Amino acid sequence: MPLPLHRGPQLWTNYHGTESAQVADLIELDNSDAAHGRDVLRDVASEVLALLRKARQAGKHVRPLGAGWSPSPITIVPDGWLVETRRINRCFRLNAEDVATGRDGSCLMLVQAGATVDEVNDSAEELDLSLRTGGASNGQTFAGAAATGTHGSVLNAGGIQDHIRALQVVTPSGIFWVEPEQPVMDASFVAATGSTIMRDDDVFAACLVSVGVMGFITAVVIECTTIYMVRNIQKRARIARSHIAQLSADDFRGFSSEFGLNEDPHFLQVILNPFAPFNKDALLRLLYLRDFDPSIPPPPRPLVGAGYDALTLLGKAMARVDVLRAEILQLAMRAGYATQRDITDPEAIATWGYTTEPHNPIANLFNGSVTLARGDLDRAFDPLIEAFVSGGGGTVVTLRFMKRAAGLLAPARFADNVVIDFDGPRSDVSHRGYRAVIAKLDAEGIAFTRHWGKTNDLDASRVARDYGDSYPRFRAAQRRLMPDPGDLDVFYSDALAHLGLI
Amino acid sequence: MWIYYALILALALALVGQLLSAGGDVFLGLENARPIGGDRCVITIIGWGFASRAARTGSVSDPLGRGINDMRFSMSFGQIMLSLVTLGIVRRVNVDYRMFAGDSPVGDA
Repeated sequence: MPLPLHRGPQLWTNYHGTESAQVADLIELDNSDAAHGRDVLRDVASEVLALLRKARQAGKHVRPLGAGWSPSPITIVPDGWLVETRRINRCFRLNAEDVATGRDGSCLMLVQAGATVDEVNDSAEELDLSLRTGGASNGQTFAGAAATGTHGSVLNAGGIQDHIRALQVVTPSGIFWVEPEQPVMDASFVAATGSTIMRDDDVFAACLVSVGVMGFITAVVIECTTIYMVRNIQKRARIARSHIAQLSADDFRGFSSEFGLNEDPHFLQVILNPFAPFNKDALLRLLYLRDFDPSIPPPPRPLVGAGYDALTLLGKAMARVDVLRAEILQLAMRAGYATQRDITDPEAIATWGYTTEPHNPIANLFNGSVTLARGDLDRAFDPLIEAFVSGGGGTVVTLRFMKRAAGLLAPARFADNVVIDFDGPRSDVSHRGYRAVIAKLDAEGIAFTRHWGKTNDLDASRVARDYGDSYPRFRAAQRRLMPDPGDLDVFYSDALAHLGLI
Repeated sequence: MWIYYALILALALALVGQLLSAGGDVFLGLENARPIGGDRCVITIIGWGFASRAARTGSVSDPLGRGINDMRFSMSFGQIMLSLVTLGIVRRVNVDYRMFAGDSPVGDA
């Protein structure tokens, strides 16, 4: 097992350039070259255990780091050790004897914590499997995306963490294999990974959306589904206010038949210009399930990467100029959906893995979101847009839909959810508009939650209020996993203490 | 006389065009990206490239030997202005890069 690489003290900045900190050491874990997954897991977890014990002795705080994707400061640990997991990125197939008696392991896969969603998609397809859902992009690590409750807009799925069936978690006291009370993996497999079994429903549910305060997650077992494809309809279209009511009322089929195909969509996303939501084109994306057809070649990879300056310039322009905001934003939206796929175009069909978007750093972005009960969308929409624009606006507004997600701290905690994203160039205007939305929803008495990984302006009292009974259950589960306060202190950061999570 | 005005206008437009084009960035990356980390190397081209070659050469430490995943070449507004006022004698270019994390086929658990 290669030793971790210590890159030493340095200023670390996250992927989107929104947060930075001077860390005492940036430590890169390297992967084990053992032949079998269980041995790889044991080697890596042992290395992490040694690091955590050393950190505890040295009085240093540790933050696990995936792709550094979260714009919020949850990864930041000034003067601490940032432990990068990206090189522990292998995936493994599981056999029938690896799983608990009576459990079907045919769709299970063992995934190391540093594997990105893109890598997990590729590996799943090697095994003729697909993920059920995912985020908008695929550059996050799977474990990191789950830890923050990342989601997409698959209408009958929850968050990406809903795939997880078991986790390997390391604390300074040991290596644990966390499962629900109903066993998932065979005891001999777990022992071979060097882990001690902990079967506890609440500890498992807390680890699903851990926000990085449930130990150091080194691997997960995920359950996929048989490989499938989706047909992509992606177009610019003018929608009316009545369509918002239609989506709020669960009439996705009706919306789809008007703008896409006359069938139930698998995925539905609407991107609006908040300055003129019904007077300018919206960007619509609808995906429809199709059986896997190996004769359909993968689509060419889209051109990504360049364009940093243009988007940043756009953000700065919108922050300073009050005129032509709607037009500038519409221009950016047109660029975003330069390629359209309407129902009359040749069918664009690809596997799920090839449908999520590759991502390279393109700009200093602002990301904020609110999640509310889908049924509240109709009454929340007008005041929300009005508040956002009066606060300055500055980003597009995206509507995504999903079911309740697993995890005690999953932001999608309503039976049916609409997630409203405010994603665009980073500027004070974007943040001001987002704050106005928060204030307006509170004033209207509409319950909502916020994404852990995005800019969210949360604090401890608000977290406790938003999550109700789930919050004390999360803290109790945390104490069961780490009864020694010294263990928990290793994962301390001011940002997490501010959220009341540590 | 008009020919001089036309020439000055053409030269001014050429200068503006050059300044704008310097703001464009380019990106080169592996087709199936597996990035880790990231850093920036600022390279200075002196004397339109006729001066010391050493200043124009950056190097990247890669102790794990897996290579570079992607690179972006760009100039900030300040760097463009520096190049302008020095008549192109000093030209600074940013190279943002990320390393390759490694890629493995699915293994047996």
